[in-house]
Amino acid sequence: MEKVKKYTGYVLFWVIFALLLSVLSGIFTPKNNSILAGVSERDWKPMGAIAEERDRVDVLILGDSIVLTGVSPLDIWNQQGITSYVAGQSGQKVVESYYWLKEIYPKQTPELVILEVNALYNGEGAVAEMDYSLGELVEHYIPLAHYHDRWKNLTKADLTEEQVYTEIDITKGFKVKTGTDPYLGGDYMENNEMSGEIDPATELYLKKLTSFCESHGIELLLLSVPSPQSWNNERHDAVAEYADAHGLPYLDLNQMTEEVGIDWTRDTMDAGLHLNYAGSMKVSEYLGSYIAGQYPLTDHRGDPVYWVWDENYKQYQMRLPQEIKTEK
Amino acid sequence: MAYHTLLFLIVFLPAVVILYQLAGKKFRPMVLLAAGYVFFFSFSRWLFVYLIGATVVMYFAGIGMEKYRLMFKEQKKGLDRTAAKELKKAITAKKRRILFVGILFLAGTLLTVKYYNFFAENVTKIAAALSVSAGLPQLDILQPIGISFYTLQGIGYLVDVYEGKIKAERNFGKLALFMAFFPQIMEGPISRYDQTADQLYAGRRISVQNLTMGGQRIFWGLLKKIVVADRLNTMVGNIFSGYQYCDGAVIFVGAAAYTLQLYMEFSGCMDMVIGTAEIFGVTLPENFRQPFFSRNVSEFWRRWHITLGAWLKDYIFYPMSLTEGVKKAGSHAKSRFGKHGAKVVVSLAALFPVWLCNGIWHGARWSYIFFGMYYFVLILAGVIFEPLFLKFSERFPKLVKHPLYIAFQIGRTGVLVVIGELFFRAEGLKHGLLMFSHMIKNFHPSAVVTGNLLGLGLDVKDYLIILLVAAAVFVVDCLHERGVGVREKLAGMPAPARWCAYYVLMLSVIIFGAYGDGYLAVELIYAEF
Amino acid sequence: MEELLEILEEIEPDVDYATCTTLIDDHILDSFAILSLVSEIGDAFDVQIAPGDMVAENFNSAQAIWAMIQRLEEEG
Repeated sequence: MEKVKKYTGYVLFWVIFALLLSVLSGIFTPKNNSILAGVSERDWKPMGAIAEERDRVDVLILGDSIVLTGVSPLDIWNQQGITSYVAGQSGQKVVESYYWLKEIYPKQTPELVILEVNALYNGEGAVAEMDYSLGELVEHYIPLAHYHDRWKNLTKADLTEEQVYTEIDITKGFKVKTGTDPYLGGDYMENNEMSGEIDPATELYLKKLTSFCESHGIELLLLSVPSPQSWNNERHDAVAEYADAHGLPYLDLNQMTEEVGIDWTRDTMDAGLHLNYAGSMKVSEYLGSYIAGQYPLTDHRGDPVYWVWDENYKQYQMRLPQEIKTEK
Repeated sequence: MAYHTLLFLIVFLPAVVILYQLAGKKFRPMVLLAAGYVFFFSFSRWLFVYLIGATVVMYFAGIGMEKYRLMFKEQKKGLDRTAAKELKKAITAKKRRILFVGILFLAGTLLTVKYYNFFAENVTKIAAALSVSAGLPQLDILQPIGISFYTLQGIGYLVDVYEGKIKAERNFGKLALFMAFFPQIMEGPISRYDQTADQLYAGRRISVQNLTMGGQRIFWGLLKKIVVADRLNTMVGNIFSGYQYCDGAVIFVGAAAYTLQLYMEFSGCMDMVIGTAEIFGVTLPENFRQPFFSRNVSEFWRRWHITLGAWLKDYIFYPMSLTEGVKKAGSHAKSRFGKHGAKVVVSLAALFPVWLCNGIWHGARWSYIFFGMYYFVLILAGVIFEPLFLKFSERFPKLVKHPLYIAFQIGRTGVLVVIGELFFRAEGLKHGLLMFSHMIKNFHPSAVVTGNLLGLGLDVKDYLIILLVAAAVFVVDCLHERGVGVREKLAGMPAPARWCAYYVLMLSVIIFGAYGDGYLAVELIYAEF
Repeated sequence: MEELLEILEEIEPDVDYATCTTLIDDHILDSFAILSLVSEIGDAFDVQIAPGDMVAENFNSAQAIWAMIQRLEEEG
């Protein structure tokens, strides 16, 4: 009897703790997806995908800043009528791509997920990535751990209000970058300074992402946006090997910069790490027609339900920086 | 996989606890040893051959010395006193040779990986100054984690065996475990063989009592490290890198904040380490005893990083002061200047190497050597002026016992420590000196209250939470100083109160911790030494 | 024993050496006191106290110090 009492005590202690965590998580989670409400700048763009109207996004693009500045969903919309969204973040790791997909999925049911695979190489070594992935896991299930710093500006409203995401990113996750700093290094795929090795934690989450897509009937496309400073043959081969093993298509635009029409003297903002606006237009055009040809995606142009996307496209064009407009 | 990371706290440690418990008494030490090597491997990969190499050397050197000790015991029988003395001398010489080789290997490895580049750089500089075109190349040497800590444990073991204080260990696994107990690997505490080896090898069952007490202490350490130390890191970094633009008073606050950061960080880490060991029923030596209640700097060093001070005392200070030369100088001084003179001379000779070692142990930098010499001078001055203090306290017996006078002494010690840490943290000795003179010349106390502290990466709420937790630590330190067992008291409270206390502790770490978006992860400071 | 007590008296007076068993633990003798003690003992009894003998157990009481001296005398 004494023993039963003791063990009930231990269980009760942790049950109460779990309840506390869950209640506090509710309080600490921002009640809106705006920066003012407590969302970090880094999370703001991917969170915008949740704020979009239900089931509007057919193609969800995940990845780091290379895809953030490299693919423009609204230009794909304008050309192919496909609705896509870049849920990318600077330095996004695959474990984050995975959890964004899981968070966005209840609201959006994409037919195609595109993962920009530079996200495989944002880690800092095997042990560090195990720790990081664990942190992401904890933050996914205990939002308090993610939003804990909001203790500084909690308001009364946090106690009472429901969570409603309303703030839409009119560029659908795309980041317009002007400015040009040419890359003059020539062929970079042979440069083997960067290792292609994928650390175990990242590989685990790549597999989890792959099987999530599989079990939810989502097509998965691996993509590399051209980037001389972050890509080479070793990395290409590592990704191609994974793609082969799992029966996934892998589109490496680094290998087809000529078809895409990249001019490295004009299309990069920082000597070959990120594309600028000009480069991203070429990649978006190529990618748009590629997915339109490969996947049965619906052209939603003219569908009155999607009027917002036309509206957003107009706003986006109007808000383009002056230098880009004059060039046009 | 440092002690404050999730990987350690929610994967590695629970896994080791479960495996350890399942393994049964006989195999538990092996689980701990394997865990130690995995832990070491996660930081330094194949450099763990250094650790194994050190263990092998210790093992054979220990057995070798033991052999001679037994030989002496055997042969001495039936010899008269003079003959026994002769024999002892001969055998001691042989033992000493083994000791020397063992220490040479252990210390040599440490010196090479840690100090070679510093040495080479300075040789090259001197050669350049003498316009000789000679110099030593800089080498790309990797330093295995914790080498500064385990090397001292290894040397201590050899000396203890040499002196017959302990028996040489014939069980290689036990010796290996002594060197590779995972909670101790990164930052100590530095323990002596007879303090921990038997406990580590006992393979005691983990009890719920151990688990809660250990867990309690781990969370207390996390609170200090993640809430206070990591939060202070940005502010301290900003003041030390931009001191030219800071008022002297702000610099002083920065140095004090760094002292607080270091205390919270190092003592917090020790709480985690000692708490982890406690789970396995192992009592590690304490490394801190409320250092900021010290009334002078030598007392401070008996309360701060205690195991390093104890090691230096046992293996540097005593051996140095017992060498013939120092003893002779002492008795010579005694006959000429009296007892006090002898004390000054012996102190001079024995304390200098102690503080040189203390300084340079922290790393190959002139500023660390300066740090050691700073304390050498302060403590030597204390020895020299001791008769004056004695006279003073004889003259004013009531004053020296007055609480205000004691508070003054504690405050004075605190200021001296803060100045020491200023040089310790500064980017090199040159900046340390510049920073110190800048602090003295531009000191305006008002600068602290006119908002200058708010532009350094912390807002008012950050300062509040730092002060709040620091106050909690202060209260607990006060209670410890009075001999109250806070942890036992807490564990003995009725369940509702105890649970609330644990919830507050755990949630404070989660909510007020300086981690995640907007914070840079801060590595353990002492693991770099 | 007589001689040892004299040496102790000289180094640190005002201590009841007959009863005190915490000379080290209560910081009554500090490192320096022990050092002078060691050298005095070495001279008076012709024994070598090694650094390894410098442990609290050997110095906590006059009795313990005396026991150590006798052990060392025996060992030679």
